[in-house]
Amino acid sequence: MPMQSVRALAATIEDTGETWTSWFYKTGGPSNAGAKRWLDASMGAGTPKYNAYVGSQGEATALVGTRNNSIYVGPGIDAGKTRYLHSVQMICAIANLAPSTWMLLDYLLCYPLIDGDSTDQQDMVQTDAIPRYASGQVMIVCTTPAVTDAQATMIYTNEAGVAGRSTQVNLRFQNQVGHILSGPNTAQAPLTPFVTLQSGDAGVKSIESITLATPLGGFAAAVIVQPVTTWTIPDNNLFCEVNPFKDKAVLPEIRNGAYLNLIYLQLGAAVTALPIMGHLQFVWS
Amino acid sequence: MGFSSLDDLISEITSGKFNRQDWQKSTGANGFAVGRWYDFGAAAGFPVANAFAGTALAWRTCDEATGNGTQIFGMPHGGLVTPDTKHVLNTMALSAVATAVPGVLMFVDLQGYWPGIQTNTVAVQALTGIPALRYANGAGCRLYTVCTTGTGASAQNIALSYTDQGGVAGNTLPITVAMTASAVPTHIHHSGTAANNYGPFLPLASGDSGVQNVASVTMSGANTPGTFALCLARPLFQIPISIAGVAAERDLVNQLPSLPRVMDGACVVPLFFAGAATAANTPIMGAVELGWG
Repeated sequence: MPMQSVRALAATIEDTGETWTSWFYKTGGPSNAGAKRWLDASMGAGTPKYNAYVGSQGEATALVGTRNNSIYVGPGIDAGKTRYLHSVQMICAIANLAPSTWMLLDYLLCYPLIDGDSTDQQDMVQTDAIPRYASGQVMIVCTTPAVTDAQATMIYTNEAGVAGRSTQVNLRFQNQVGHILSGPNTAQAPLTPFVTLQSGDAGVKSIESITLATPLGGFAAAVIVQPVTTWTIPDNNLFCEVNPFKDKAVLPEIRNGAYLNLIYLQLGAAVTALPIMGHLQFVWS
Repeated sequence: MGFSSLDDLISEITSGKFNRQDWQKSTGANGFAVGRWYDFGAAAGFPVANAFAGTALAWRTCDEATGNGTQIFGMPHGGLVTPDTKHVLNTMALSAVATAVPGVLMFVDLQGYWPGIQTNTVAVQALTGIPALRYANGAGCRLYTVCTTGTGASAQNIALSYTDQGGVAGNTLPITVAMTASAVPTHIHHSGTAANNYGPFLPLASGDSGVQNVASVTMSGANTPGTFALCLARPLFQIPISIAGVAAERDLVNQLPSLPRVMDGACVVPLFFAGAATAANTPIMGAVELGWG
């Protein structure tokens, strides 16, 4: 049930103990990034463990959080209760990682091994349905580096279930593993990690096909995600602390099975590795 | 009780219902590995180190006044105040050593522990004693292990059977939890950056928000040598340290959730999350300020 008051929120922590704090420490991450790139910290060593976007080529693969394959959200909760994100704390000790903007995502569904060598229409197979949410945003993540930029056409079903929606995606395949190719990479591209959708659409329920305009090499995964919250690291060696309830007047819901991990927009010059450390505190009621 | 207003808070603390306790701890001869949690309560400094005295596998209660009955290792916080309630107002932490940062200190109320659990056996190790807890039904209480004798190099997982906040016995860890091989004393050795490491607390079964008791511990493989203590504690508050030589300060009156309560008799000890490979014998110091009313 929803939190009814600040008193109720405090009681879940102070009285009933219905809270869990998960600490993360990523020892490595996407490397050699230039400035103004979005990167996927899930593709880095440490806790939670490396996300390789494992699955059959082009088949919709649901991402469900178990153990520490994503940021552990704590014990399962009883039916009728709802879990929320209460607070975030994070630091990055690498100078060039600051300033940076971080986004906590619930990773919902991925389509692995989109072939950068093929200019054929690559049809996706809807093996799994999108979990937890009716739709989400799409990001294209590099899983094997290639050599050049390109455009692609993505056909998808929108949040209302309308199939055949179409959008053009700018991709930059010469990035390293873990780079979000749908992020800012050409003068025309918007400064967002997500694919810009056809006018009128708010989300993607499934991806039907992706067609590259030119062969690029490499592989990528198309990932449907649900953004949870964002924060900014203004400087290295400073802990950033966010309390979404107090700072943003929201208490983001974390649904059962959430597969939580982080992406970030790096505004500084290239770095070779993370680390980052921090925690997420959850409450439920 | 508690504070009905800021005016009331000021009135209470200016009438003497206030305690400040400074502390200082050292990482010890082994130093700390990056991404791991350590029990500063078992580290040298002030207050004295908890040596986890007691009979192997037998529950040992901890409190402010007597510690574990052998070492008084908890942070002194002003004694018993009932019918008032005591709350943390401010905290500070500092290290002048570069490798001590970044780091996070989490203070817990250690209810007690079962010492002398062996890592060199796969037999079920039955724990004895019934914990007397400062939190009804163990609400919010969590479990963690502290290495007390350095462990061997073999990999092993931990399993246990515990009673939850609802009094249901026989709960098990919901997921595989790996213990770090070659752990050193003070290491909370299920924490770290390897697969299946969790820290600082062991994950609980679905539907659980507390622990009242633990019946047994079982290791998946023998790892010789090694012993550890299984601790039962309630998290209180935490403070990150960002920069060497600069005091981290936390105002726990105005932040949310604010004024964490410290129960009468609480055995307050700090845990430390190392964000860097922290050099041996690195000192970290700090203070906790409390008021009651």
